[in-house]
Amino acid sequence: MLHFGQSTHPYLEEINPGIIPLIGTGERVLDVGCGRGALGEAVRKLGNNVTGIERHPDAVAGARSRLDRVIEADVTDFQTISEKLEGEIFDAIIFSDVLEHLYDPVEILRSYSGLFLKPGGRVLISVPNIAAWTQRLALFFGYFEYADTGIMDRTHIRFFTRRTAKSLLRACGIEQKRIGGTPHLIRAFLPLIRALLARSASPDAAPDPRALIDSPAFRLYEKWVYPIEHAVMRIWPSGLAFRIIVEGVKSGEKIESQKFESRKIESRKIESEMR
Amino acid sequence: MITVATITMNEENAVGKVIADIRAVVPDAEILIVDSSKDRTPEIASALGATVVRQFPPRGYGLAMETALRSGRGSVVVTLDCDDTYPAEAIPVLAGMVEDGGFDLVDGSRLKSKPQAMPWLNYWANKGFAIIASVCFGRRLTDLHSGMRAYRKSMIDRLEFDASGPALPVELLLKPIELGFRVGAIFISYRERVGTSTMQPLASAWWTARRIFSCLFPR
Repeated sequence: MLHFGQSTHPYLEEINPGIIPLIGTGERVLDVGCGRGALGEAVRKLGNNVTGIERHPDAVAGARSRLDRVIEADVTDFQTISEKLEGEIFDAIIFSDVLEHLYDPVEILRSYSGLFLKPGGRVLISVPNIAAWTQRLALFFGYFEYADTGIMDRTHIRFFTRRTAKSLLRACGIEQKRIGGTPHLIRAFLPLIRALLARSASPDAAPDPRALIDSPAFRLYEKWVYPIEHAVMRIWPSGLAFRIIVEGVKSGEKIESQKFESRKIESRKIESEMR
Repeated sequence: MITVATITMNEENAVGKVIADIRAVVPDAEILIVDSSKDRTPEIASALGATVVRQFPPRGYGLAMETALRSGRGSVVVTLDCDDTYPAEAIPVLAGMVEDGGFDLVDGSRLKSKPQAMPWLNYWANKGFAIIASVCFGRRLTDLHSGMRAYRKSMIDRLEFDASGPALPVELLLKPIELGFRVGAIFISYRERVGTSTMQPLASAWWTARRIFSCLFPR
């Protein structure tokens, strides 16, 4: 039986399953908003050198034992980060469940890409899908309410669909290489499962952030159920995805051609509006 | 102590019989009536020894039901509609399952088969929603809208629910299931009502769907 400790869900670790398949080996990777380093540790185990950036001191302490280096700074504090990195640039930058917490994700992504990503380097982005079927139903029934975790996490201030996730990259001059997602089928019932499990757990037990990912039930799910869920998600990714995962490449030439294309589209829009 | 709670709106033709029926089966119970009537219902109920809480002007079924559930002084609160449709003789059975059987909530399901007093449209709508909820919650649920139930008071005290719209019984049944309380059910008979029904079928159906959704995907 999974053990979640409390009915108010504390921080629970989760290794983003949409990012891992995009990770190479022998790369220098920057994990922006690395938390306690659960994802970064998995990236490191694949043979990469991982630097994390994290603001919360508790999370930094956890991440330090797992990553090659952790910079304690707000992800928008470019002065501190630049000073600590001393001109180092990376092969890949991960934004896993980070951009939705930031006021200006375009500017942040553009700055990271410009300052810390080598030409031809990759950005790996994961953002929650506000157009997931449960959210569509919720809005249909008149619900737009924040929650402790998930797509409507109360700390989210920006919301993305597949289309706006793509345009986020475009706006930053990053070429989109791949777009995918993580499924929102069983995951959709997680609050209900948690509520049921929290009741069966001892109220005095200390919450364990790794309870979910270390449980045998979760490993079984990961091995046997997740691939089926993922295949089903691909039928209708804009509605069946929990997270939208985008891989982009920083490429000077492509940026110029994309800028030109987007300018052409803009001018066509303006022309049609004038007509 | 048991509280038998009911909400009334212009039920002067039924209230006397309902109170007498309750007294006959549970003489020591507190009878609590939340009343929004313009007629003589509250006077009749008071004269017969019921505790009357006035809610006038009317604020709707849900808010009246919430007042009834929250105001009951007994350790078990049994609800029934005051239109003589529900069998008073089932009160001790339902209350006993909570007091002695370890249940936190026992539902008095009307839908073992189609009650003669229930229109076909209501019957199939009730059946349909019960099937949907059964699939969603992975257990057999036969009647989401029954007005006759026994609730453990300590469970009600811990329960938060949205009483502001129709179909509140749906949430009062599904939320305890969602939160892991022990919920049981028995079948009861359902008689032809005295007085006119105030139910609005479309609003009720919409709110039923909404409440199933909100319990299935708690925020």
